[in-house]
Amino acid sequence: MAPSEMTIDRARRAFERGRMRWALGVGAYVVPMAVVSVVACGRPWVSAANGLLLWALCALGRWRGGRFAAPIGWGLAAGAAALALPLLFHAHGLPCADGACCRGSIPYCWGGGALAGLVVALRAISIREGRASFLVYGCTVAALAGSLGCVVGGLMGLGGLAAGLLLGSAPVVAWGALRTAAR
Amino acid sequence: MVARSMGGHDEALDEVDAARDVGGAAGAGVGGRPAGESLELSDPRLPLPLTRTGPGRLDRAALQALFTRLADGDRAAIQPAYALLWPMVRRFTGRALERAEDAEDAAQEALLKVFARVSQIDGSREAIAWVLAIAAWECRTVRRRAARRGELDGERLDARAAEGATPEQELVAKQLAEAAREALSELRPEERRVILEAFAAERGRRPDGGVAFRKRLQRALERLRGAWRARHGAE
Repeated sequence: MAPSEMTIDRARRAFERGRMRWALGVGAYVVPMAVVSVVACGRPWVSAANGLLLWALCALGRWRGGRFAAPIGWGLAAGAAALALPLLFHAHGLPCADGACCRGSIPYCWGGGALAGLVVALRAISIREGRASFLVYGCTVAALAGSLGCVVGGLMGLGGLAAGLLLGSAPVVAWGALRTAAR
Repeated sequence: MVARSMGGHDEALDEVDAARDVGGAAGAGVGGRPAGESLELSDPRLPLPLTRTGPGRLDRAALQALFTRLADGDRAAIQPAYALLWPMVRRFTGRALERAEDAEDAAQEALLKVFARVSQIDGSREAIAWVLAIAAWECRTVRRRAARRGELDGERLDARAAEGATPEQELVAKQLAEAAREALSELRPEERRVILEAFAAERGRRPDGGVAFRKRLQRALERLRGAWRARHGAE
């Protein structure tokens, strides 16, 4: 007996349920990052909201699959560097009161952002299709992950992260575009 | 055009096999298609199920490709994957289970589990082996469920025996069945199983056991009599 349309519909629903569960499994990486941020950065609500947003974005990308799923791992890995740098700065007992922390952590946020942008952009130009979406989605994930650490520096830290991401990825993207045009 | 006849079917399979041999279905011209155009499993010239004598090389490769697409979130691969898997899994469960309805249910449940977990599949893993492992597990579940149902067979027999009986006789039969079930519930599971197997063998459903089985049966019946006496004071 051939499978009926109804049984295939049931399979579709089972696939979607299973995929959603699997997509939410990205929380295994995101939640520890958010917990570190909540504990260490002194702005628990901002960190928690940021972590939830990052989890939702990553889960959505994994659930959707294809070109939306591919940049998530890279974005998270790159963002982890941007998360770690300001936290290392913070953990080494450097001054973090009366706004001094904001100023002190900016170079770390900038550096972390630049590193994340470089990593995501290098990966983006190495793939054949969907470079732009990889770059945009990967940088967004990296920015949210990095901002979990840069929240320690307040708005200035986040600004530093964004600037770093832009400056880290722009030259690589330009080089990739030139290389493609030359072919 | 390849017809949907057996000859046409084999022809289509040979074409695809040949295409794979020279560089994969994605890159080779198949059945008059220009080279570079991919051969879709939904292609009407490639009738499904793609089986000749069971899961062959083509099935494995096609299934692996479909599973890769599913793991990547390509919903369009659900239908061809289901169409490809269904006959294979249905045959497998049909061989493992006696009743056709059970086999049908087990195949459907197994495929639902396959599709629910396909996103997690490791691309290097053999898809067919994974699917058949799930199907085998589902068959085991169905057999266990059937074995549990077997414990209630007595109730159905009592109901049948009570057909046409007076209300008093029905009540007596019901009470006796209830008493028997209570006495049986005091036995160990293996003793219960031996008694039920002997009962089934008596009804010609299963082959009779050997000496060891008869000894186990004798011990189980002694325990059942003891339980009955303890509860009801008579045999």
